Amino acid sequence: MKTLKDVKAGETAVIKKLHGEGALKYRIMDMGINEGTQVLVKKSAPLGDPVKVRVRECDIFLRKSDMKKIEVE
Amino acid sequence: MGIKIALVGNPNSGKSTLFNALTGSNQSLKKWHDVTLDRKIGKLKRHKSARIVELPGIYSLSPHTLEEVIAREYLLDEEPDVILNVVDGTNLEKSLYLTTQLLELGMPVVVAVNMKDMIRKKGDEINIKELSRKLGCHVTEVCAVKRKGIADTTDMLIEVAQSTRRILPQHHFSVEVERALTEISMLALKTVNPNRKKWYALKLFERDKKITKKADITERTKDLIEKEVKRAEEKLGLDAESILNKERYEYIAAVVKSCYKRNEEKKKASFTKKADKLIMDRWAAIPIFFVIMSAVYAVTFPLGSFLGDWLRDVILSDGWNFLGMEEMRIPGIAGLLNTWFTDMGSPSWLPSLVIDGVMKSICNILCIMPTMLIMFILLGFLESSGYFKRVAVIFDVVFRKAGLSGISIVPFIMGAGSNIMGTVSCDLVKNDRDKKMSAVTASFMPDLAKLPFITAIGTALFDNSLLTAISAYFIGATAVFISGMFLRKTSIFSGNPVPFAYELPDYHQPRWKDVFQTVRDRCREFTRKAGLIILISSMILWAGSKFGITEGEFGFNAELPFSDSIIYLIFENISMLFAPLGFGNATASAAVFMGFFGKENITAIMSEGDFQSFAPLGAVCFMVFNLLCTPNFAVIGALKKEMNNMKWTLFAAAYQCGFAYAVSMMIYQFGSMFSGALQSEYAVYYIVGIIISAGLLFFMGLMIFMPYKDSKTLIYTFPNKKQNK
Repeated sequence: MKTLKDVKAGETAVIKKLHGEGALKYRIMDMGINEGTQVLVKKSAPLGDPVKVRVRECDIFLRKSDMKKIEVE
Repeated sequence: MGIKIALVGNPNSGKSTLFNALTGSNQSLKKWHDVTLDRKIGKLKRHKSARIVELPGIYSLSPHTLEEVIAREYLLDEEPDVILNVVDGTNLEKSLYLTTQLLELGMPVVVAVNMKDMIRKKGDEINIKELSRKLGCHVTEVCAVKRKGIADTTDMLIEVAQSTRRILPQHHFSVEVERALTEISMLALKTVNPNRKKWYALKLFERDKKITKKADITERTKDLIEKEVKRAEEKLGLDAESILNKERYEYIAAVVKSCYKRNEEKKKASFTKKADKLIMDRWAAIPIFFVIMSAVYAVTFPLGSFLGDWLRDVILSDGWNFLGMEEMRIPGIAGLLNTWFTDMGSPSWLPSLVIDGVMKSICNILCIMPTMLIMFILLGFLESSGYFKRVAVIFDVVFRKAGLSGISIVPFIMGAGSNIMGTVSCDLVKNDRDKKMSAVTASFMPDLAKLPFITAIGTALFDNSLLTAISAYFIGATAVFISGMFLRKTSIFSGNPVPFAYELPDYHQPRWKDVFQTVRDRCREFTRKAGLIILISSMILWAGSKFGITEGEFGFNAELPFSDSIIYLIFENISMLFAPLGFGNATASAAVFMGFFGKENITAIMSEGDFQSFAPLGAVCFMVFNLLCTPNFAVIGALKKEMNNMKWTLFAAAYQCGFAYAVSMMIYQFGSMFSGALQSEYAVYYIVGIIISAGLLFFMGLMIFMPYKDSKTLIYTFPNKKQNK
C-alpha cells in the first residue's frame, strides 16, 4: 500500500482511501482530504515532522504517523 | 429578551478579532463549563440589546472533538436567533465546509467573509452577491483587523434575527442520500422541529452516536435506518460520513468556482512566505525561537521582580528611597500604620494581624502582578502575531509523545523563571487536554525561587552548586516527560482525542488594543480565581508562625522564634512522614511545609549546618522532593485559573506532590541498598520500602511503555442550560 508518507516532497498524489478511525480521520476529511483529492506534498517542519501538504489551495501540516494512514494511488 | 447571536468559525478565521471589533470593550471572558476553553460573551457595540457568544473554533459539526461537541450542543440547546459564521476569504473552499453544515441546521445564518484586504492584495475577486444567492443566506464582507464592514454586519445581523423568514438549505445531496434522508425523517423525526429535520436526518444517516441517543428511537426504527444507510453506502461505495463529506465538498467547489475569481498571474511572494522561509528554516528555526524567548525571559523576570520588590517596599517596609536617594525617603504604608498603632496604644497582636497577616497576604498577590503583566503583554504580542502557531508546529515532534502540544515549550521556559508564570502561561495552549497536561507538569521546572535551596545543597554537600543546579534542570525536564508519557495513558487524558492537522495563519501586526484586552482578562481571571487561595494560605501561615509556646504557655507572640511556633510543633510530630524519603527530622519537614508558601523560605529556615547534617542521599531526596512537589499556594491558585475546575486543580496538586514523594522515595530506598542499610537494625523497614518502591517503579514503567491509543468516545458531556449561564 502506497501512502502519503511515501510521496516525496514536491510531488502530487491522489487520495485513494483514508484508513484509521476516530477523530483524526474525520478531521482530515473536514480539511477536505477525501477520496480523489489531489494533495501536493511540500517541505517538512524544521525538525522533520510534521509535513506541509497543500490541499484545496491551503497548506496543512500533518504528522508522518498520520500520513501513513492515508492511502494514495 | 434581546437578540442572541452565536459566532462560529474555523480556527484562525479571525473569529476573535471580529468578536472584538463587534463588541469593543463590552465583553467578558468566561470558560465553558468544567473545561479550559475560553467562552467570550459580549454585547454588540452598535446594538446593546444583542448578546453575542464566541464558540470554540471548529471545522465541522461532527462529534469527534471537544470543541465540536461544545459548539454544536450550544447551538442546539440555545437556538440562537442568528449564527454569525466567519469565513476566511483567502481560504474559501475549506471554510465553507462548516457553512454548509450550519445552513443544514436550519438556523438563520449570516456569513461574514473576512480578510477582504488580503483577497484584494492577491488580486483575486469575490462576488458576494453570487455567493449569497448560491448559499441561500446573507453574506457580508469584512476586514476584522482593520475594523471594516463592522457596521454593515451588525445591521445585517439584527435584520436577519428579527425576520421570520424560514431558512431552506440550497444544497442538495445525491438522489440516493436524499432518499435515505426522507426515509429517516419519516421513520424517526416526526416530532422534531421542522427546521431542524434535515440536520437530524443527516446525523442519523452518519450514525452520530450522540444524536441517536438524544433522538430516543426504538431498536426497530434503528434497524430500519441502518438498512437505509447501508443501501446508500453500497450504492456509492463509501461509508456514510465520507459520502456526505465528499458531496458537500463537490457542492462547495461548484459554489467557489462560480463566485471566486483567482488571479492567475505570478505573484510576488507574500510577507508571510518570506518570513516563514527564515522562521521555519531547518537550521534557523530553533536558534530564532531561543533568541526570542530569551529576550522575553530577560525582560519579564528582572523588570517584573524589580517592580514587585518596589511594591513590596512601598507597602510593607518602614520607608524607601525615591530613585534611591537618601534625602528623598518616603515612608512605607506598613511603617506609617505601625507608628499609628503604637500611638493608639493597641495590643501587640493587632498590628501583627493587620501588617504581617492581612497586608502581607494582599502584597503577596500584588507583587506577582508586575511580572505577570509584562509576561502577558509580551506573550500576547507574539501570540497574536501568529508566531506561536509556528512554534506549535516546530516543537510538535518533541512533545507529542508526552501528550503535550509543541507550544507547551513556552510555559516550560517561563516556568524556569517562575512556576506561577509557567502555570498561567499555559493559556497559550489552546487545546483542553494539552493545556491540562502542560499545567500539571509546568511547575516541575526549577525556577528562580527554587534555586537558593538547590545551590545551598550543592555548596554544602557536593562542593559544586553549578553542577547541582544543572542536574536539577535535567531532573525537572525528565519529570515533565515521564509524567506526560504515563498520564496520557490514563482515561482522563486519553478520553479527549486531539487530531493534528494544522494550518498556519498569515502573520499580521497585532492590534495593541486586542492584546491589552487579553492581558486584562487574563490578569483579572488570575486575581479572581487565585486571590482567595493566596489570601487564605498567607493568613494560615501568619497564624501558624505567630502562635506557639512562649515560656510554657500557648498564645500569640509577635517575636516568636520559629522553633516554638505551631508549625514547627506539628511537624516535629509528623516528620516520620518523610522518613521513607531520608529526611525525617523536624527542621527539614517544617521547611518542606514552609516551602509551600514560597520555596525561598526553605533557605530562610535551614541554616548551612542543617544542610550539612544531611547524608548525601537524604540531601538529594530533599532536593528532588522540593523540586517536584507543588511549589506554592500561588501555583495552586494559578492551576485553578487554568483548570477552571476544582477537581482538576486538586488532582494536579495531589499529582505533583504524590509524584515528588514517589520519586524521592525510590531514590532513597534504592540508594540505601548500596549504603549498607540492609545490615542495620532498621532493615525490615528498608525491605518494605524497597518493595513498595519497586512496585511503583514497575507500575510507572508499565504505563510508560504501554502503547497509547486515543479513546474512541469523547468523555465530555455538555451540561444543561442552567450550568452554562
